[in-house]
Amino acid sequence: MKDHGDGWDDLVARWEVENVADAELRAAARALAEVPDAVAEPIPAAAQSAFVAGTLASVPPSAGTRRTSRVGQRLTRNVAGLAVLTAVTTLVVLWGGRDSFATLDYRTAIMILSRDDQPSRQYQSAAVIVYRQVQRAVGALRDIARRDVDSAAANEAREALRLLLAAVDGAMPPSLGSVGDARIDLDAAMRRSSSPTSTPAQLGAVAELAAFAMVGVRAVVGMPGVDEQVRAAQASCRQRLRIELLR
Amino acid sequence: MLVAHDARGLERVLADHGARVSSLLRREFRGVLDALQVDDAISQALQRVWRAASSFDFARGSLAAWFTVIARNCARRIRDQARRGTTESLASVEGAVAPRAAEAGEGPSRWLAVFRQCIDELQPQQRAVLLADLAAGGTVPAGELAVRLGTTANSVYVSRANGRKALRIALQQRERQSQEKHRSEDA
Repeated sequence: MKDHGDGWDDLVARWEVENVADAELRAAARALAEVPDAVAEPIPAAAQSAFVAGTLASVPPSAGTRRTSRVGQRLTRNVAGLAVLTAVTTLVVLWGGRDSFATLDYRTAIMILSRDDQPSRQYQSAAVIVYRQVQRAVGALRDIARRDVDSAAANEAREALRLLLAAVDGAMPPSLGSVGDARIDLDAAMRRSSSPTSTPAQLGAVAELAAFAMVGVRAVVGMPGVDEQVRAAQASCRQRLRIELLR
Repeated sequence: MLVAHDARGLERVLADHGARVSSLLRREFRGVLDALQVDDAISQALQRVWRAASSFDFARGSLAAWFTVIARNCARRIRDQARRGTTESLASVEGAVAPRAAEAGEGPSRWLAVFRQCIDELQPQQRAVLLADLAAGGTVPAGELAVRLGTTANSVYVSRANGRKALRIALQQRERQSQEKHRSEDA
């Protein structure tokens, strides 16, 4: 839930809170009391931090009181859109032959830009799609890495995970060649990320594809004029990705 | 801390209630929502808590209970959206936004009553768009809503913008009237 500057999301939140009947509150209190202690697994500290960061990123501290002019908002959005488009174009040129990467990033960016009334929310949606994709691939890589610790496949999977983490942390740019030379498109990536027969190189490439999307956009959000919310949402998503890699 | 918009309040909510609420959702939505979707519900609920912390009436229930109800609503919305792959029908939206509290014999807050009145006074399409947005807990994609309402996406955008503006003005007017009434009563 993003603040679009017109206070609507604050109204939605308040409506949601005040539209709760007393009976619902009583039922909820009873249901909570019935949850056995043993079942209630504490949320890990890292995940708590990600939740809080995500909330703070999506809701500016001044939410509810901000009164940005609509012209200003639209200008900011247009500048943000142009910044994304410019950076994507640059990436397409820079990555040249790796058009499958550029295509995915371009598609993602198009999705972000396709809703000019709420780029931050669309951005977050795109990031969630990317996150889910990388989560599947990373989960499969982790399984391989743990299955037979001394096998070549396990070593390859561990290396792929290490490189991914470094890429997400910004220590190194993502590089498909480091984990395999599979050329993949979006549809193939979707299939491979959930296929039990995928090799570590293929899975690593899928995950790296997603990491690339995130790291690629990081360069974009560093540009002046980009919506602060986009910047914060991206940071939050990267943090979730990092938690997934470290889990 | 929450009311004062102190981020440590969010951490406390998660530390004190996150585990139980999350467990409750996992149990209630087992086989329907995956772990990530339950996380999303918790995340959405946390955002609502953060935004509307000052609206909690702790005389009515504990923060844990509030958080649970909100998180459950978020989980239901995620479930419904996943099932339909689209938005709710206008009829079900009207039902969802109808005064549940009043039906249960429990009076809604004054703000809520005023809010509903102001929504009711909007033009039909503006009202339909805002009701759909409320039921979705945010903003429904204009394309989906256009199909449902038998109009164009551009018309939805315009109705949404004008509806929000009209609603904001109406709420401000009601607030001013209320303040003037209180002042005259005090005098």
